[in-house]
Amino acid sequence: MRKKIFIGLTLIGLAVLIIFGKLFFKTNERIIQDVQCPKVIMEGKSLFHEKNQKLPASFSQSKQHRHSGRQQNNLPQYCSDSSTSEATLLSGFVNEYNREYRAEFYACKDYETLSEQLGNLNGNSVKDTVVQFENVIDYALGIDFPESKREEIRAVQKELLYKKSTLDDLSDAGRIAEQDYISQSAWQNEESLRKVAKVLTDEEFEALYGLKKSEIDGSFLKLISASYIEEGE
Amino acid sequence: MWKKSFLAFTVIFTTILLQANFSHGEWIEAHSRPAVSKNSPVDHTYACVDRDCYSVNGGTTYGGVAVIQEYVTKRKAALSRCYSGCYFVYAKNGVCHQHTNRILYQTGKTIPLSVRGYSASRWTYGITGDVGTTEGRFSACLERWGK
Repeated sequence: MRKKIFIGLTLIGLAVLIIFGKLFFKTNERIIQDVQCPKVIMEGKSLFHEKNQKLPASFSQSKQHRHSGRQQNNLPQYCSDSSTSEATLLSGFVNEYNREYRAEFYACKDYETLSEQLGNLNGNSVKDTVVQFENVIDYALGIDFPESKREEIRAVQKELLYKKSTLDDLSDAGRIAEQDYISQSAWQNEESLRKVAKVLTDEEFEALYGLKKSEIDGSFLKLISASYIEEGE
Repeated sequence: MWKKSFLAFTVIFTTILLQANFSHGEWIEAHSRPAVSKNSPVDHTYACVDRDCYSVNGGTTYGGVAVIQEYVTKRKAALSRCYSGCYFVYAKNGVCHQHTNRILYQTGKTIPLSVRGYSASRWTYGITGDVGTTEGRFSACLERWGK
């Protein structure tokens, strides 16, 4: 008798699960359908043209060569659990011992910073970008990097971003040609790096930007041309 | 007897629930590869949502190493695909790093700062390119497709 009751209850339970499960999945499908958008949207345009190189002007979508094996990313939640963050690993220059820890830490701290900013409809993009760069300074130079130098870096970056904003407006209004936009952007960028180079030591500058002070010239063009270089070219 | 029934029921219920949750998601990955030729000190990045890989301005979408791998719900994966196609003016709103971060947004992570050239692109464009042409900013993308 008890066995029959047990079997009966189990069957009823499974039936309930199946009914609720179907409802759950249908709800999920509705949510997914609400987010319908084309897989490839031909928006945006290429702004940079290099001589003798034909550049595509739209997004591309290609199938990935599936690599074998997949490891689930078990990154610890450094950002949300400050008690586990080691102050010593976050202080001083980034080096071979703390690089991996810091990369993981700031990969999620950046998201936190971004989420807070994107939640603010009245955000200022210049101010937000400068705040975001604080994480880069913390990553490369440590959380104990002097405030006086940080202020000077912030001032240079704000100046650059305001100049860029003016240049963007001119470009959007069609008042300067694309090539002129690129060359002026490059000049503004490199000029800002030269100003920061006066504030930082050689070692600090290289740790922060990943390039030597002697490599400032042409650095902006190298940055924006990186995506155009295909394997074998 | 009742305890055994309850235990069996709980195990079956939990198994079905877990199996249902974990079979309805997709992987989002970000890849980094050195920009070849001209001794570029910059790494190119791109992101993939399951088998669909996206880059900006016709950039490479294969090779390199995975620097971020996260499993997300189907809804988040769908949103990431939407973000990949948002209006984005290259060299004005950002470069490949910013575009990759947009696709990663639903994972709760961004590309790591150890990617070469990323700190330099952060100097001008920030994390997801919320600068430059207004309609090309990430905030405009989120307004269009949602968070």
